[in-house]
Amino acid sequence: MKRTFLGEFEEIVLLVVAGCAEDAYGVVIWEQLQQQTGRSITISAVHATLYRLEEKGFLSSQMGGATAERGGRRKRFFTVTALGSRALQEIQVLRDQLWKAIPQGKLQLIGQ
Amino acid sequence: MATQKEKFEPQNRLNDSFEPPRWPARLLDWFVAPHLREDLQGDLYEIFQKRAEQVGIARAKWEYTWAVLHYLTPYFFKRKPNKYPKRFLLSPDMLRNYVKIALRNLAANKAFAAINIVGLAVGLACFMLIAVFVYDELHYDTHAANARNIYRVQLLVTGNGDVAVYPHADAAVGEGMKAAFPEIKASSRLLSVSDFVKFEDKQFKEEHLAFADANLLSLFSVPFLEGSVKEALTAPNTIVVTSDLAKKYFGKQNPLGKSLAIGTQKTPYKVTGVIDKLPDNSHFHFDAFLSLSTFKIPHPTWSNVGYYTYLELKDNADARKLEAKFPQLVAKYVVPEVQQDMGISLAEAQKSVDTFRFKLQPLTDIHLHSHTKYELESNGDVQYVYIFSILAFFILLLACANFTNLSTAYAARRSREVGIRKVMGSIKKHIVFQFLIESVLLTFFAMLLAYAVIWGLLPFFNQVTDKHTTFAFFLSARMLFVLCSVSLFAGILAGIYPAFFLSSFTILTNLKGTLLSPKMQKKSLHNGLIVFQFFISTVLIISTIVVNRQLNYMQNKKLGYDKDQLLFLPDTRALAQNQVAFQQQLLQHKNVISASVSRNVPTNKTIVGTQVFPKNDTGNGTEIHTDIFNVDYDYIRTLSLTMLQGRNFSKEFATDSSGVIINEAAVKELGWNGTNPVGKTIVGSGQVEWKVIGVVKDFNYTSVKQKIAPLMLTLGNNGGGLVLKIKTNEVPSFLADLRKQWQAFTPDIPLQYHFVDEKYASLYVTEQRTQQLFTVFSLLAVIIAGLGLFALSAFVIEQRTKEIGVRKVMGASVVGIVALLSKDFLKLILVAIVMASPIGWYAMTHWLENFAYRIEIQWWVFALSGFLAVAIALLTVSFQAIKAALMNPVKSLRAE
Repeated sequence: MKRTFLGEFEEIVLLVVAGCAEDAYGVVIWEQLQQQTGRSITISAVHATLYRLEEKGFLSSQMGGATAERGGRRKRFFTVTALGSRALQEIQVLRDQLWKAIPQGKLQLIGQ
Repeated sequence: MATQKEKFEPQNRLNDSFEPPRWPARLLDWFVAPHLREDLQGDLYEIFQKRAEQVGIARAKWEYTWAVLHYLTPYFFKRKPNKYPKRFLLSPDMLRNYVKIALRNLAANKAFAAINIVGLAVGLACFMLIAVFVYDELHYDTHAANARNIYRVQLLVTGNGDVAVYPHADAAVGEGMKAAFPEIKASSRLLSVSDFVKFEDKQFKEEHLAFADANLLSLFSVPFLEGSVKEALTAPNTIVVTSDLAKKYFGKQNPLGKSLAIGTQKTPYKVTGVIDKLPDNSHFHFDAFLSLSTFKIPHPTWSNVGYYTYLELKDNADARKLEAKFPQLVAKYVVPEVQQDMGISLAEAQKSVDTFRFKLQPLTDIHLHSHTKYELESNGDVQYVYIFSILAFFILLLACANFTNLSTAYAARRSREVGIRKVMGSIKKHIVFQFLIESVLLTFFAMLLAYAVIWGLLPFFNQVTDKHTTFAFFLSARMLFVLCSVSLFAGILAGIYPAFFLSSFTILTNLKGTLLSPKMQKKSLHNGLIVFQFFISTVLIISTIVVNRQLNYMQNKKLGYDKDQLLFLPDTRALAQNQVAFQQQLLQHKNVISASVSRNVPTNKTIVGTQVFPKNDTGNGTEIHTDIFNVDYDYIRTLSLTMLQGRNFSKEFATDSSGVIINEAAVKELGWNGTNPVGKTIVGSGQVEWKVIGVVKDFNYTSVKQKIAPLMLTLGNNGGGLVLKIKTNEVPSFLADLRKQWQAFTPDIPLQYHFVDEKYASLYVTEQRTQQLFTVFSLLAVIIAGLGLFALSAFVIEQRTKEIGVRKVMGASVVGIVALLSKDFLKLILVAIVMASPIGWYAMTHWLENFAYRIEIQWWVFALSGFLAVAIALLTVSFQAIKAALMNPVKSLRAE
């Protein structure tokens, strides 16, 4: 099975991009991430992960038009590619499988 | 704050936005790879604006800076790889191609390659040889472990506005100084002598012997082959010999414990140690050291000279500060001695504190900076080190200029190749690199050839410089490294211009070959380099002529005495009371014109001097330093000296034993100019009085480098040497007779003699060496320049072949064409000569100032140098020009 592994942070970023209602670009993704996870994350980490995901083919990007609020600079919009969505789904399937394998009541026991 | 800055903002900014901190923004702009930059900067900017509104500008700025710092990782720095395959500068295939093309080009232009390589090789070889010479000169006396802390005591005596410098001092000085100043760790003395040495039946005169204190050899870290450095010279009558001397006397026997008989008294000295030959770069080379403790000096004095005194200072001692304390010692020791000696008042003697100065000369400075009359060996001169360094540098530069000039000229032919290379995808860097590789390759060949040149020149070089550099020295890793880096440097220096020149054109210009047209050639560079080369050459020619003339002048100067067929026997001391008898015996010989018993002959190194003052009507005049010659009645006649006033010594006057003949210089210095000195009185040390009976014309009894010093001739009966004036065409048979006579008087001691004119010539060995080196290197420099001009003119003329053909068809004469072709070059040479003359004049005037008696630089020197430069240029250019002019126009016009 040929599959690229996704790190935990990468997976979350990918999910956030997938979950964005509006066009996803750096700032939005960063804000969403902080909101969703409640963690404090540096913007550089987000950028590095986005570019890396793009290099791996899970994301694609294109430049938008120039906007005044960014000092005339264009935004880079990210969208999840087919490969990306398949990877996410595979992960979900795997997780579900693993969840199902846990005997009933065991987690609650451990949790207490 | 933000609003103030508004007018500097870019136009597409909104008025109500904030400005992120400048430096982090710049850092980000510079650091992040271009393909990531825009959206990344945009995101940061957006966040900054939001935060500025939320938490205020100051905090936002801080956050922005903090965020920027997080981007400083390799990931963001890494530039996006080029879509197209990278053109690798050092790809092995292309390197192979460059080398192959370079070799083919060399093979195609053999003459060009040969001239280029030979010129550069000669330049490199000269550079290396001179560099070795300079290196050697700069590293004298470094073998002593504590060389940096060792100093030689110098004595400076001021008198009559002149300062006499002695490199030695009196017997008590060294130890006295050591006792007085704790910063002196050790002191040691050395006394140079020459004497007869005998072992069994072997007896020779040894010229290089020295009496030395016991610690001298350890001070100079002289390694012992046998014996112990600590004890070797402590006992009286002991001797340490070099292995060469040991072999000479003892053969294969073990020298330790054996006795050598030294001097005419045959005093036995026991060998207590054997040392190796002293290193070449030492300022003395003695064959044996005798223990100075042999002499019991009951009352060592301070005010005389003769002992070379070395002091070792402690590590942190300051020599200058120490020197400043010496006058205390002069007041304490020298003044009473002077007072007693000269019979003068204490106040008068106190003056010595000012006139008697001890100085410290660093050991490592002796070879290049000490030029007194009394050096142990003839020293080098720091000036020559400078001159030769400059010469080496210029020769290398000359060779490089040649190389650049020729390479540029010939590279223009390869314009099309460059064009094709560019079409096939070479970028500028590749072309530059290719041409640099070619020139480095050429320099590499030149380097190999340079080694051959060095190998060939080395014996001559060693002979001229009196050094013992072996070829193996040049093969040592260090020298290889130096030569390689110099070659590489020269290659790049020479190749960089052609490389950039050729690669700088557009493909079309390259392909059209318009580079070849004379208009496109960079005339100014070629011309500049030719002017430069001939400028250097002319300066060197001028210098060579002046140096040669000055040396000739010195050798042939009227010395005031006749040095031809003048023979000196230094050892008649051995005859003791029989000296006069021997002299009389010799006078019987038909070839002997005159003979005089005297130790003092011109060119002799050891000269005795003293302080005297004139006795005038009103009291004593100022004290002066004068040399003293002890002579007999026949001295003046034997040397053919000219009497100006008064008379020679004569047996008819019994009072002549206290009479003195002085030279003109003495008359002047004693202040007797314009009066008749005959009959006046001179007072000297111990209140001895001499009556002047005559004045002799000045004669040069030392080298012409020095001014003639005041001299007194007095009658002496102890002799010690014999001066002989002979007249014969058969010198060998006379010498045989002389030997026979000598042996009749003293069968025991070998005869020693030398001709004064030969000795005189040997005074100028250093100058002769300089002259030879200078002449050879100037010649080589001129050859390099000539080679360059030859090849360049060939190239330029070849380009004008068609023009010449047309001119000939139209009726131009051969002479006319040659003149036309030579004219351009001659103009440049003339510019070079005009520039070189003042520089040459300045440099040589400076050099001549070293000599007390020197030539004037006359205008014809410049004329001759200019003429030579023009002649060399004409010869090289006209050869090509005539060849071109004689060519059949059919041939030159047929092409194409």
